[in-house]
Amino acid sequence: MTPQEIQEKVNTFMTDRLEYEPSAIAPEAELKRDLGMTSLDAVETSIFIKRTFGFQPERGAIKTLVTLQDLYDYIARNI
Amino acid sequence: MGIWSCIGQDLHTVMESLKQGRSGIIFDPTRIEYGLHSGLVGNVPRPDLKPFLPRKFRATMSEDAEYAYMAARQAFEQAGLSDEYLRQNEVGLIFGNDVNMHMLDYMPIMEEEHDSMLLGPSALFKGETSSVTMNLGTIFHLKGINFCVGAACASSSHAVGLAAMLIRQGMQNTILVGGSCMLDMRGSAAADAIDALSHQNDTPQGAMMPFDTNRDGFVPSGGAAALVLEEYEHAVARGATIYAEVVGYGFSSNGTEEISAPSADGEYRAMKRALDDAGLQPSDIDYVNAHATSTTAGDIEEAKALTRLFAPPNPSSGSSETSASSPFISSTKSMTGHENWMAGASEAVYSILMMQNNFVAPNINLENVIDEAKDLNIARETIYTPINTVLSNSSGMGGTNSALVFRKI
Repeated sequence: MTPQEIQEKVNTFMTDRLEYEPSAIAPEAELKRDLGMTSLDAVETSIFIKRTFGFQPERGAIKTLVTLQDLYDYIARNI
Repeated sequence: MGIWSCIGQDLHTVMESLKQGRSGIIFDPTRIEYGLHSGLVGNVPRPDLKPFLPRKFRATMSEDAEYAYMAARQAFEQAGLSDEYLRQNEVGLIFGNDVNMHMLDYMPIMEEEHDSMLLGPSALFKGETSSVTMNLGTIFHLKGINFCVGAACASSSHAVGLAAMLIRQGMQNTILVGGSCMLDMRGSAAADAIDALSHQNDTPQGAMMPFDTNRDGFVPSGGAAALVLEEYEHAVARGATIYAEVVGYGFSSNGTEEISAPSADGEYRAMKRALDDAGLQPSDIDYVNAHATSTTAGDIEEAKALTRLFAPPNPSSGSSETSASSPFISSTKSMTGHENWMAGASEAVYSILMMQNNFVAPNINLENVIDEAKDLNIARETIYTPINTVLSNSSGMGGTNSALVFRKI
């Protein structure tokens, strides 16, 4: 899977499932501050990653990520 | 007050339905396909919450919390309690609620994939009985008391009574009370299993026949009802419009061994206690909203209790005295079906609408009254008359009873 494909799938999840503002989606956007990610959203994101990319994020891993780019990179490293 | 029910999703529509004796019951063939013997259910639409609430809130809401939100919005708006007011003051929250089926939505994931992480974040918050109060408390930023009362079909009647007691004792000055109930057919299956539901699938709107000899069980319904209870002086000082006063709460447990058996004695004791609490005599009551669910045993026991309280035999003549002082009685469940844990609160709303608009809603589908109710003044048609005091009776499986008395202000 290319970085571009990862980015597209993550962005679609962010806007369609978590209903984050499409205009706020950008690599440098901070998950909590700019997108409003809650701890429950982080759990939902873990499930999305397992179902879409085939690996289970480690416990609490999503909460340590700061930006959307960090999330793209985390997925790319573990896929 | 606010309401989301099968006879309307706003107070005016519900008032008109009550006046016109309009049933909200339909036949849903998917219930038969699922395996129920009764395909009857209240026609309650699922609200679209997207225009009102961001996903953050919607994601954790159970079906009944959705209904409760719509009813609560109406109640707060009518009471003039703004979002700003709710954030800055201590407003409590007590809802009657019981069975919640949502945990069943998630169990196939465990059985098939054996990974609890895949349940996601909403299973916990959707699946608990108190999902309604968890969600409403969060959405409306409420800071006062916050819990659900689980007492089967008397749940939300007890909720209203408990809230009134807390206000009387000065522990809270404003509480949103209510009741909510899912229409999930998996919940109805359990009632169908004990043969409690009507099988009159061909005549949905005629199936609820409280106090009639041909009744054969209840029709499950649901939705939500909400009322803002407020300490009188506090409401006056705020300039609020006051629609009614809760003047009496009575409760009892049957004290019998059979878990599903209703009890005339238990219901009588709860109603008598509510009257005593209000300082009223039976002759002071203008209207009784009966619990009457159209079940074989329930209506008989309630009719006996109502007769003992409101139409006792005249000691001099030996005959019963259905006199001018006997209150009008009807079961609004004849139109709404049985709203279960929502019923105490919804019937408080229905009763107060009748008081406000000076009418008694009819007990529809009553042709041949059961012997036990023959001395009662049951309203078969809409009666236009001033109503100043109401007793609303509720009863639940397991022997729990609750009665409320309301007075017009």
